Amino acid sequence: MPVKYGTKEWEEEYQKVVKERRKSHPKPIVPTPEWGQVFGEIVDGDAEYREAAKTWEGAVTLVLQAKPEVGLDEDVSVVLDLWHGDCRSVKILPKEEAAKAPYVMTGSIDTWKAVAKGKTDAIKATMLGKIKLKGNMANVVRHVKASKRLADCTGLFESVWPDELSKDEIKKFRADLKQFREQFGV
Amino acid sequence: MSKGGYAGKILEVNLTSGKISKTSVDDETLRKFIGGSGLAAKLFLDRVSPQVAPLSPQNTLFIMTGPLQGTNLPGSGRFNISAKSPLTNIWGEGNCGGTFGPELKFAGWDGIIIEGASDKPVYLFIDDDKVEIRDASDLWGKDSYETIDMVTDKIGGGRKVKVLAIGQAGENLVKYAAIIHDKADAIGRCGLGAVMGSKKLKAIVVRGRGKASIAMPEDYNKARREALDVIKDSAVAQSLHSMGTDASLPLGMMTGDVPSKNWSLGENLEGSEALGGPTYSEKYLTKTHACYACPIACKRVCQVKEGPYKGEEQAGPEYETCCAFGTLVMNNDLAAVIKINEMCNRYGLDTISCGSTIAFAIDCFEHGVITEDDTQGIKLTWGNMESVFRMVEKVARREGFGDVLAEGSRAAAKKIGRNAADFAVEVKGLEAPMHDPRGYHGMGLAYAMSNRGACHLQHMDLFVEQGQVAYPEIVGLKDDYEGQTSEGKAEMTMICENLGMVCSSAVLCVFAMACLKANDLVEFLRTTTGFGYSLDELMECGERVWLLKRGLNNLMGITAADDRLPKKILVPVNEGAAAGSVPDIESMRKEYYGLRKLNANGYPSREKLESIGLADLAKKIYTSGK
Repeated sequence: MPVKYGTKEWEEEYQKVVKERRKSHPKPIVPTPEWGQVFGEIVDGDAEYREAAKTWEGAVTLVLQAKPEVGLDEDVSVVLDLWHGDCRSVKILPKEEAAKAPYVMTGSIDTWKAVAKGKTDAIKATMLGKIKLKGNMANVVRHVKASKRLADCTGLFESVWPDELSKDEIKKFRADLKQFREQFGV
Repeated sequence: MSKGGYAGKILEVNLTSGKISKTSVDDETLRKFIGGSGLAAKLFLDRVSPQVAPLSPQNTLFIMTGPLQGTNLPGSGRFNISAKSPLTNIWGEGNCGGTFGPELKFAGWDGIIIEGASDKPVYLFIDDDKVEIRDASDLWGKDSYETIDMVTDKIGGGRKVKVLAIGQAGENLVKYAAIIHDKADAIGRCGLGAVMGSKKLKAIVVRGRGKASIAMPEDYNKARREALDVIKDSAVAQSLHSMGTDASLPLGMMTGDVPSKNWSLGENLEGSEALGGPTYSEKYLTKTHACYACPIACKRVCQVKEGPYKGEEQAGPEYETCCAFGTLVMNNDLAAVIKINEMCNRYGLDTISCGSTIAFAIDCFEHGVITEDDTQGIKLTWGNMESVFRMVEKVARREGFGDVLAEGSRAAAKKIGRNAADFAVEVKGLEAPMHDPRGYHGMGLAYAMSNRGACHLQHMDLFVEQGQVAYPEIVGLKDDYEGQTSEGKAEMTMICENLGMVCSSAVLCVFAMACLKANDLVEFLRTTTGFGYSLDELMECGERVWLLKRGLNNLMGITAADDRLPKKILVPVNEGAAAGSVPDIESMRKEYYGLRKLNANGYPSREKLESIGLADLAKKIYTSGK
């Protein structure tokens, strides 16, 4: 029975599940809730990001588009709650909720990996149409340094991308994610 | 045979004799050179001696549209003016937006060829097929805005005229005098305003009541609709619409693209915040403005409402101006940039060359190469905008040290002597625009090889190398280039130049091109003209136009020795994303020469010229002892 988003129960259950998953997945897979939490902590503690983003206001949703062959059967919406240099949380939220964020950036998981690995940057990928941006572009451009640092932060902790998993691992990843999504209605 | 896109006639005006006539171009030539700058170069080859003195009556202005002007295709609101440049003494051209190009086509003309010189000030009035050379003695001495207002009022009645005008800088033959269009757009580069001034031609006014012809209306409409859909979703278009070209300032500062302190400083974050697109939009933008038929609307209209630079609502500065009079001279006051943009527009001055030449002078002053004795007491120091304002005025009026700077930084450096040349950042005499080749090495090669001198818009390098656009349908172009490497940039630059030549011949705005695919351009030209163009054929047209301009330059004296970068760009900066990086111009040039089939002296091979339909050019080059 899924927990209803927006309730205290959802929040408590989410935190409990992520805590357990972090223990069992010390090297989190992108884009899982435990990966999101670790990423959020790294960003929140990063002095360079905090300085670059000190005037930033507004949540940013990163939509990683489905790629079934690597276990991602549906799009995943990862919401970064960012405010004046703080990263208050990084969570996987229901699609409809995530779409309400003032900034929504949608791209394939391959594009997001390229951004995370520094092979391209989010602005360049946006210009090329590989990332679709909904939101105030002028503000994004003003904070280009912050966006670069956010991408750098993904490289500051160990994680795994789904295309780096073996066939068996993909199977498990798919099943885990499905169970999580059903439990939290995401 | 072309069934559309062209009016079928070009106006010829001789200001010495007062004769007005017309000429036309055969379809084979149109198909090969398209229009715009390509056709201008071909007509120059046929009609003008390359040895012509730029400010003599024999120099000829070619004001050319392409087949796209007068249509409602996105990006078609532009036109081209070409002549021998008084600044560089080689091929000169400028490209301008707004409404003049379409209006000329509506008037029933593909272009205007202006020869000779009047002995008194005149303006040219084209009212459909009625053409008059009119007295401009009451306009002479006025700035370009006053001229445009006066001539518009004078003519009055009916459909509003579209005007090109020079200000005092053009009258005084400042070597980088610009031509201003309706107080909002400019043919900035290469000093073509001085060519007009040398002819005592104060303004060109056009009114047209016709319409452009389209060869294949159904296919054209489909191509147009598809292009509009693509542009609607394009992030490049969105960025340009919301922040104008000045969006590039904060973005470019992160990648080492933006020069500061006369190219000595690699990073200037304070400047980028103060002068960049987001600040501009928040503090001074009143509305956006578009060229004819353009959905992107990258133009800015702005107003400074308070403070020492308070002024009227008016056309705002572009990225280039925000850097040339901002980061380059270490000024962080955007209101001052807006004011100086207005000043340059009124006087009719190229903001890139003017800002760069003043930055050069500041660098000389700060290094003791010139002193207050040279500058009549004006302290040319970093960030000192009062002295910058004074110097712009002196340049326009050719007063005192302004008379030295009015010659451009290359000539000024020669006159000053000592090691002044070390501080001039120019290629072939044209001051470099505000994109640093130390951040993007391919741009360095493009500067070195561009046919009008250092230029960021004669090709699509800027957009391709910086990853704003990709053209996977063009063989040889990659999807994603690394800026600070010189490897692979020769082929990239050559292809981007060829594509750029198609754009400047068509005439299509490069910003529209940066949102579209190469096949969109093919469809635009195919459906407008009825010529059965393919992408391969168009790229060959682009290559032909580039080689033609190169050959003209060779006849004007350009050799391999001129294909170089200035000293400042070959010294690494110590800070920012491009710290320590310098383009390997020698290896890029060597590879490029091989691809272009240029010999060791920098001349295209005879075989290459003949194979691409430039046998007449080959004959001129190879029988002149080159």
